[in-house]
Amino acid sequence: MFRIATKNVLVTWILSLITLFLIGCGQGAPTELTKVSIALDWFPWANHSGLYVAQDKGYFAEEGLDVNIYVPGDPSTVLQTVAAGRDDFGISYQPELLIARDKGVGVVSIMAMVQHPLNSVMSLKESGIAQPKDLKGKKVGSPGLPSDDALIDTMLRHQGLTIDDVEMVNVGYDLVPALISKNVDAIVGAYWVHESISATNQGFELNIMRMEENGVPDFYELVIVASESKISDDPEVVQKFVNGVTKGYKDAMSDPLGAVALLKRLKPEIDLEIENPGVKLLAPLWSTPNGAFGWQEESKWEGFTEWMVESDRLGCDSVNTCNVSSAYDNSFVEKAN
Amino acid sequence: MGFKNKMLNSVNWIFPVCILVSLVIVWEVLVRVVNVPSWQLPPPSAILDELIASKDLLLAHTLVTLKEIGVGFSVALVTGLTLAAGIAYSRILERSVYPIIIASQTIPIIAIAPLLLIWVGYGLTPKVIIVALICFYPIAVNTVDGLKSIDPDMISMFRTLGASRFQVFARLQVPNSLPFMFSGIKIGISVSVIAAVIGEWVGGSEGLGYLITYSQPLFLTARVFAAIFLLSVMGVLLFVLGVWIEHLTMPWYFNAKRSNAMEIL
Amino acid sequence: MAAPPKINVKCLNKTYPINGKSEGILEDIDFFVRQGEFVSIIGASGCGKSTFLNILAGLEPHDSGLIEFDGISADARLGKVGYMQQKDLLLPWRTVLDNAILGLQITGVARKRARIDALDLIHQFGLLGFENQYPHALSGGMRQRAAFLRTMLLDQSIILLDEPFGALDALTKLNMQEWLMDVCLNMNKTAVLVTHDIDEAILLSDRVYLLTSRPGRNALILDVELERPRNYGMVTGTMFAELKKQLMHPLWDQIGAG
Repeated sequence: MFRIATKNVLVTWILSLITLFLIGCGQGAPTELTKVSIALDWFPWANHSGLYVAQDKGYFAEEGLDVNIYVPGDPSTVLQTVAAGRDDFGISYQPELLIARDKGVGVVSIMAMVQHPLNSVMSLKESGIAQPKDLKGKKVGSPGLPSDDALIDTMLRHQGLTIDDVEMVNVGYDLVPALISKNVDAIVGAYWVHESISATNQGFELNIMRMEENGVPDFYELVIVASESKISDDPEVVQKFVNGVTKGYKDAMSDPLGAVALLKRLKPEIDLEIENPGVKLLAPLWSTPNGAFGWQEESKWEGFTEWMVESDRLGCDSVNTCNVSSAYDNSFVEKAN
Repeated sequence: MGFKNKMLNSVNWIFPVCILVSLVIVWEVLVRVVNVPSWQLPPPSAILDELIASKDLLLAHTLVTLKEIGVGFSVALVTGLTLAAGIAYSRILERSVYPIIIASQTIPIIAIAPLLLIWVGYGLTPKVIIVALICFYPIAVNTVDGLKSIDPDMISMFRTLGASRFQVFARLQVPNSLPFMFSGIKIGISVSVIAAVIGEWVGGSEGLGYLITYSQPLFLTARVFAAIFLLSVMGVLLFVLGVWIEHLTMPWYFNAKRSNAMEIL
Repeated sequence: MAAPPKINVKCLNKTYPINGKSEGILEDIDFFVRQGEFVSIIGASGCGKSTFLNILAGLEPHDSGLIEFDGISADARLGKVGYMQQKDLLLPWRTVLDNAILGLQITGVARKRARIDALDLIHQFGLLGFENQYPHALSGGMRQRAAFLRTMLLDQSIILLDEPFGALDALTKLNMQEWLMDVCLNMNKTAVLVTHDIDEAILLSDRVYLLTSRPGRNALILDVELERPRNYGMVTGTMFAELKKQLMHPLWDQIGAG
C-alpha cells in the first residue's frame, strides 16, 4: 500500500511540474513587449508617480514596452549602469551628468522631470538661521556628496562667505533626523517637497533656503538619462519610452492625488502623510512653458554648465569646450507632443 | 621556524607575488585590448599614477581609517576577552549573556548605524562602536572555546595540587586558551577594515571608505581603486602584525615538533 | 602499640551509576600502608584500582567506609596527597622549571623562592640543563621525571602513583623504577603504586594488594620480603619467581573468569 501511495505522489508531482513548466513558458511566449529598465534615483516617491501611472494604466504597453522600474542598490551608480548598457534608462541629476560627460561617460539627458531645484538648505525655525550668511560657524549636515558641497558653497559666496566658514558634517542620508535631533544646525541635500514635510509632520517648523533664490542658477533637479549608444542604435525604443512617460505624467499632472493613490497601491511602503502634501508642491514643477513634459531649455543648460565651470567642477573650461549641446536631447520630447 | 625566519624566507613570498604580478599584467593588457573606458575599470597603471599623484590625500584618509580600526579593535579586544572570561567562569553569565552576544551579530549594521549617529553624534565614536561590534564576536567566541577546551585530567591534576577555582582559571584555562584567542583575534583583525569602512559609509567625513563614496560620483574610479588597494594592504599588514604578536606571545606553541609534523602532512 | 598506619582504609565501598543502574566498583576494601612503606595494587583492567587512587587523593567521594591518615579521619585530603598520573600533564606553555614549581605557586610560594627550591632538586631528577626548555623538547622519561619533581616539591608525605611508567619504553622504565626507589627512600615518602606490571609491583613494593575484577575486592595480600636496596637483577632470582607465581595464579583465574 505504501508503494502505491508513493507512486501516486510521484506521478502527481511530475504532472504538476510539467504543468507549471508549461504555464511558465506560456507566460513568456505570446506577449511581444520589448523589455526595458529604468533605474530610479531613490526609493519610490511622489516624483515617480507618473512612471507608475504609465505602467499601471498600460501607456507603456500601448507603446509596446514592458518597463522594469526598480530602485538600484546604490543610487550613485545610475549613470554608470546606463552608460554601460546594463540599464536602458535612469533618473539622475544635471551636475552629475555633466561631470560624467566630462569624464567621457556617454550619457544624455532626454527629459527633465523636475524643472527647478528641489535641493535646499533647511534649518529649524527656532534656530533663527534664515539666510545662508546665518550659517557662519555652524554645523551643516550633508549626505557627503560633492554636489551638495558645491551648491552650498555658491549659496554662501552669494552672501560673502565660503564653505570654509561652516563645518560640513557627513550625516549620510538621514538628514532630517540629524536636524531634528539638533546634531547639526542646518542640512543641505534635502528636498523642500519631501523631507521638509516629514519634519513639519513631526511638529517642527523649518526655514527653507531655495537654491535658485540664493545665487545658484536655476537647474533641473531630476532628469531622465539614456546612453549615447542607445540613442543612436535604438532610437525607436527611446521614443516609445518617452511617449509612454509623457502620457503618464500628463495624467499625473491632471490628477496628482490620484497618481499618488495609484503609487500607494503599487508601493504600499510610501507614506501618504508626506507624499500627498508633497505632490501638491511638486506637480507645478512638472509643467513646462510650452506644455511638453520633460522639455529642456538651452539657456538653463548653458547657465548651469557655466556655473559648474566657474566653481571648478569640470575639466573643460567653457560652455563650448564642454559641448553642452550634446548633453541633452529634446528630440524625443518634441516628437512625443 | 621562527616567525622572522618564516617572513624572511623568500620561498614564502615568491608564490603570492608571482600570482599577483601575473594578474596585474593580465588586467593591464585586457583593459587596453578590450578598450574598457577608464571610468569603468582603470588599468593598474592608472591606479599607480593616482597613488603617486594623490599620495598626501590618500595618506591623510588612510590614517583616519587606521585610527578607527586601532581604537575600535582595542575596544573589541577588551570587550571580547572580558565577556569570554565571564562566560567561561560563571554558568549564570554563560546562560544569560551568550545568547545576547550571538543575537548582536544578527542586527544589520546598516539599520542601526543611522540610529547610532543620532545617539552618539558624528565623529570617531560611532565608527569605533561599529568596529567594536563587528570585531568583538570572533574574539569572544573563540576565546570561550579555548577556555573550555581543557583536558579533564589537567583539571584533576590541578585539584590534587590543591588549586582553587580561580587558580585553575588563571593558571590553566587562560594560558590554554591562547591559541584559540589568537584565532579569534586574527579573524577580528581581518574584518576590522571592512567594519571601519562601513562605519564611514554611514556617516563619516574622512577615511578611505568616505573617500570611495565621495570619488564615485565624480567618476574618479582610479582613485576609488587606489583607496581599495590601500585598504587591502592595510588588512594584510594588520593580519601579519597579529601573527607576529601571536608568535611572540606563544613561542612554546610554534615549536619544531609541530611544524615538522605538519610538513609531513 | 606502634604508630598508627600512614594510610588506613576499612570497608571501603564505591558505586557508579551506569545506564541507570548502580554498578559496584569497589567492595569492602581493606587497605593499610605504614609510614615509609611502598605498597602496590594490581589487578585486571577495570577492577577499580585507579578509582581507588582517585578516592585516596580526594578527587572522588566514596560511598561508605573508613579512610584515615595517621589515625585521623581524612575528609579534607584533596591537595594533601601527591598524585602522579600516567600522563605527565606538564603545561606546554611553561618551561620545565616553571612546571616544577606549579604546585608550590598554588600553595602561595613566590615564584623566585619556588624556583630556587626547584633548582636544588633538578640534578637529582636528572633534568640538569633542561630547566629552561619547554616540555615538547623532552623525552617521555624526562617529562615524567619533571612531573615527579612537581609532585615531590610539595613535600606531601603520601604519594599515589597511577601507572606512571605505563607509557615508557622498557629500558627507560627500568631506569625510572630504580630512580623512583632511590627518591622515595631519600625523601622518606609513603607510596601507593597502581600497576599492570607484576614485575614492577614486586620489585618496588613492600606489599602487594591484588584486587578481583569488578567489583574490586581484596583477593590477596602478598608481603614481599626481598631485602632493600633492591636492584633489577633480583627479577631473575628464584625468590622473585616464587612471589610472582603466587600472584599470577589468582590473576590468571580472574582473567579466565572475567
